[in-house]
Amino acid sequence: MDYIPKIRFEADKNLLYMDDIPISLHCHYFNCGLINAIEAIDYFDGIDIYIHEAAKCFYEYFKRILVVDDEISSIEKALKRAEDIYRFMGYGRIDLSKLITGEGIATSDSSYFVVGWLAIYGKRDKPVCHLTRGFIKAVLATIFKKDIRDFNVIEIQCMISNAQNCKFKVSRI
Amino acid sequence: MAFDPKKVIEWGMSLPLMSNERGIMAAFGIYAAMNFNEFFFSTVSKIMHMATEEDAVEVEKKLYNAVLDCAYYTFHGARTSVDWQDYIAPMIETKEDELMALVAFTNIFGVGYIEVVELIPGQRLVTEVKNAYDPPRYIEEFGIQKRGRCYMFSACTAACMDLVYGPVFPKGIGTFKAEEVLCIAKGDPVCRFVATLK
Repeated sequence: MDYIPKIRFEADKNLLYMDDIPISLHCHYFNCGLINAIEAIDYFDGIDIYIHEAAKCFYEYFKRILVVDDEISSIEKALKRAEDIYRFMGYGRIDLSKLITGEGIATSDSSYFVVGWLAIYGKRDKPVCHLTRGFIKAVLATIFKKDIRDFNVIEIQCMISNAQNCKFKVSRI
Repeated sequence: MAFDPKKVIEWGMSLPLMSNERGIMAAFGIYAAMNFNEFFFSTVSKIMHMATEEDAVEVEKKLYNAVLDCAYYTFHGARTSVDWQDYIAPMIETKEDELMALVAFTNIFGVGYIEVVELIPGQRLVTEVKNAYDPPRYIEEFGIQKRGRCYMFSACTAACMDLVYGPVFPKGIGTFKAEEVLCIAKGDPVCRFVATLK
């Protein structure tokens, strides 16, 4: 990894920071339970809200550490750094290298949400890696200096349904 | 050896909580990930304000149960680990020590500091948190709330009682039920959680 986020823990307050942004450690029961609760509401698109809020939070973070400038010399390196951060945070392993134009396919061969969901609820037909869609939007919005709404990210196949890997189709709006 | 909650936190901080090459962080039988605190707040608060009252209550129940599962299984995984047996168990002489140790263990995840303010063994546990992330954010974004918003701490308080005073793992989950009786989001000075037998 060329970039390792700085983790700071204030033990007397039980506050945890990654590069000075408040974070906390949550287990798959919590994260998958949240998705399960949101998906149960059928009269508005709660998952769209979830993806958008994830994108906003990642974007706020990436503005600090993922801008292509003197320190990160190319889009390729910025995408690589984003992959490293994704893995560092425990969300799995993702390949963003095909998104160099801001469009294309991202693939993931290891997914926190897939292993977590399988452990609790088992397989299903619908994709489950919603947070990753927000993550990809934020990565591209930062690198290409756009708004997170300028990118459409769809999970076109997911390992939760026996696919070999999770695939995300990315297009510009 | 007298029980010292700081030792539990020191031990927890020393754990190598790192994701592996596949980006998976497995510990104590669960998979962990780092979440932005703002993400949980902003997502859940928007859902709650868009949902009907009935559905909001249902979402709250599901979140409570998700955290109950999380805490019950994670804390049990921790207390049965070799490291816990080596480092923490020698300090634990009574069930009450174990309860204090589990509450202290909550204080390594970055969610705000939880303290025990009252314990009636086997019957009632009262905990308080003064610095949870969500309550001030609820007030900033939506004003004073009608209900408590700290679903995580309610369920953690119940899970600690389930593990120590409930039937033997894994049958004890849900033996106790916790409620948030005070919440900073409601304008109270602290967030307070009371777990009692169901």
